[in-house]
Amino acid sequence: MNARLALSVLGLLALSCIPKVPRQRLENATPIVVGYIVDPTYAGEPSTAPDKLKEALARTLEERNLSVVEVPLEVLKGQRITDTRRAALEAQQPDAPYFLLVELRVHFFSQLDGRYRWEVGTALTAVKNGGVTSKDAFEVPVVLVYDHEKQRAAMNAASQDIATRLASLMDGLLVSAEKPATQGTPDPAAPASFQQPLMPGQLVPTKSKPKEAPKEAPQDAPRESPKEAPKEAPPAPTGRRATPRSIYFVMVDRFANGSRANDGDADPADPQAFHGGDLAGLRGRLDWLQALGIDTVWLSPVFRMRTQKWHGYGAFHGYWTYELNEVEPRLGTEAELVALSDDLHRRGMKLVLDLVLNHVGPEAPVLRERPEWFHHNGGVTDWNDAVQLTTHDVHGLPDLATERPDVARHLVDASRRWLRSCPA
Amino acid sequence: MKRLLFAGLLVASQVALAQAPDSRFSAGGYYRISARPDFQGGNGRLGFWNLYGRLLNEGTYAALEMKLDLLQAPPGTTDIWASLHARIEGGTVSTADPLNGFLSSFRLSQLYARAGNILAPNLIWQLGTQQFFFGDLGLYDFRPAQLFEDTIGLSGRYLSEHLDLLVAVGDSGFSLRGAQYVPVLTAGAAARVHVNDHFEFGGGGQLGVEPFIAGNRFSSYATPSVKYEDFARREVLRRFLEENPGMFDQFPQPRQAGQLNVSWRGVGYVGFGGFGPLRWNNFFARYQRLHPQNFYADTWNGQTVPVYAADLTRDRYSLVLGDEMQLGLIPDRLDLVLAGLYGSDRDFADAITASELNRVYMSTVARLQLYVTRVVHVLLEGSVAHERSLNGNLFRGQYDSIFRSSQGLPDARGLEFGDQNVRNTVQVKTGIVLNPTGPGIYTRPSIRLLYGFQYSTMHAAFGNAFAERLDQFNVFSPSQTLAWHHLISLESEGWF
Repeated sequence: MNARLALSVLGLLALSCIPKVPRQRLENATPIVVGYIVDPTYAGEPSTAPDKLKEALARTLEERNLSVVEVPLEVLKGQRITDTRRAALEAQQPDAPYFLLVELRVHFFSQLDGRYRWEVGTALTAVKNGGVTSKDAFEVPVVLVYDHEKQRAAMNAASQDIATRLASLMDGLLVSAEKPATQGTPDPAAPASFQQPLMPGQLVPTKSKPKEAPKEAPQDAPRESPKEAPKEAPPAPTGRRATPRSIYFVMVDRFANGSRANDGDADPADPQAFHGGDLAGLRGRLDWLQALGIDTVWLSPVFRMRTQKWHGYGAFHGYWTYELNEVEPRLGTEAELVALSDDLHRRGMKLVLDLVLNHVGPEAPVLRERPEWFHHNGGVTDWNDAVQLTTHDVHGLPDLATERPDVARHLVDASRRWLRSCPA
Repeated sequence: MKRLLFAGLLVASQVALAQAPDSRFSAGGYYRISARPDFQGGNGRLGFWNLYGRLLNEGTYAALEMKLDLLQAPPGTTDIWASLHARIEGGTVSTADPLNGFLSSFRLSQLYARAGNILAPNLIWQLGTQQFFFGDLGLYDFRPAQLFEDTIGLSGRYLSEHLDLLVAVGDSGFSLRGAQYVPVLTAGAAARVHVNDHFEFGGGGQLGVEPFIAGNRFSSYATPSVKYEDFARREVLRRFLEENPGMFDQFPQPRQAGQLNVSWRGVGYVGFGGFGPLRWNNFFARYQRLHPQNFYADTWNGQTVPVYAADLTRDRYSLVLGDEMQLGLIPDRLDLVLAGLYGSDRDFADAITASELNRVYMSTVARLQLYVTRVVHVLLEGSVAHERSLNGNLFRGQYDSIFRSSQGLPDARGLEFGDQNVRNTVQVKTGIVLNPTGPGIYTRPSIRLLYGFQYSTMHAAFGNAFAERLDQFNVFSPSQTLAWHHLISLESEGWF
């Protein structure tokens, strides 16, 4: 009996000594193509996973420096088993370095002592392109309080458990994959086409780091074409969306002043003041941008914004938005923005508009008009607290309660409005 | 050709197999366990019952439900599926309560088979024990809008996005009568309409009819010429022999009851929420007529006769209204659950017995939970309750009050207990809650360190071993009235 006990203790000690895979993190941001599919419990059509679950998984992947590129449900919908779904996923972006297939199915278990018990069946399939494949299949029990909470509520409730399992799976995959890239160089596992930002609309990157803008300030740049013309001519419009190759981020107020009429109190001598740049100025520099090899222009926010300084800091950057549906008069008019979009399209170039959806500018009128749209939780005090990061003010900027349907609708409507007026 | 088609269907089913796992066997359950040393002589519960909120008023409990899929259906199909469920539950755990975890205190409370898509798609059949409820008053652990928990039989349930329709038929005889079984044919239906994610409503009812079976001594007989007061005092044989000395053999033989034994229940439900700070509000209503009793053994002077009481107990009714709302006062920081309960129990045939069959009760419970961190929470709960007996005194207000009385005068035949017909109770509970899975008043499992106190207008209003009879009073000589009860509890609760 004592020997058995001793053996058991030794066994437990041995188990505790088994090395666990530490959290892995790639040196550089690397895309991972992710597909979600929720099989119907019985009759019905497959659907995509709820946003809360997607966000939990995206956070887990981002902690490992993997940027989610989600494929639409339609890519997977026609497939019924993991192997064909995986093939469909890989066919979407054959050069992608990593793939993740998330398959879900939710079952009702029983009414249980006043609660409703569900089971969320989950299959995770993570693939290193040309390398290993890692799988995990498990069920998460979920107990819901209300009857009207069904499958999607169950998946939301299971999101943290699924994210934890995904973390373990990805750490195992990454540690067994090729050696991570060295600091400052692209991940060698990422093929050439993935060294570039991905095309919005075709695939949806959850987060991606913008490429650095050229060091030359546009207003200081020579008006003539650069001495060294780009080796490759800008792509001709083909009618088909292509992956952008060179994005130029334009800080509109600082780029070029095309109209003195909207300058107001612009003061180029004051680094915190508006300097007078506007859309008209940008339209006059498109030749220069195109000659530089740029095929996509990303504008700093051009929507009606706070124009006064706040605690001494300037408002010229545009990230203190007041009204998403109007163009800031200091930068131009809606007609000028549409004309810019048309100009770019004629050149085979694309336009990226920057809409601030997390917060509004300090003392925005909407704070008085719709106070219920905001969290009012004060500033973020713990930057490691995921809840604070999503529900508290970032540096004092009023945080929008984007979980409210009316707020979400407002933001989506505004986004769609500009997609219609100024398509990419 | 048919064989070929069948084979093709089989192959198609194989190809369509779900990739996310769907275990054939799974198990879930519920538990609560606590250590509550009671230095005031109680049994570890703050008050008598859940009218003051479930917290600190419930004891140990455990339930385990198992499910075995007999036939699994691929997703996206209307193929037939079937499963078998069994639930074992009981209120004792070793070292935690007087029953010390004996398995004889557990019961197989649920056993049923389910099958779907037979005869029609999205139709679920259930054969075995039945249970349906619209929702739960979580603070009370009480489900007023519940149907068929006393029925074994067959139900069909149609589920769609906006409609949940249940029709059931079966027998409630064993649940109502136990060893004195007679069949009680029960049928009923319930419907829930899910209008949208912010509003839904529902209702239903069940009817139980006990047919008379001549010759079955457990059937709905009635002993003739029984006065209600004699029945209430269990003195029917005594009075008969007083009036008919030496004529025990002439005690009236039971005859078929004057009416069929019938019981029924109607329930209603309205739920809304998902706007502003209101997460959800459940309102439940239930009105029911209790099933008549069968017989009891009346003993006098060493002789016993069965007294059949169906005609004396068929006018018993019960009304319950309950509401509970869950509010997020400060997102991810402070939540509130507010609940109220009103009940009225009436036995219209009984105008003389102080009992729980003739009473009105009402209470409100509020629970605040402050999330200091994701895991560490502070809980504060308060409740106020009022109970009133409609047939005289039911509660003892003082430690030395008479044990049986009528309007303050000793009553040797005693139908009342105590010296007051009202019991008012206030409870406050507070403490630290550890929720490993994060915020939420109903997030479980919880590990709690709680302190609670109760003030009641009734003497020693908690389960205890104090004197309840005059002879005990004379032996133990209590010397003070206990209005307050204090309790500290280290406990855990969860669904799994």
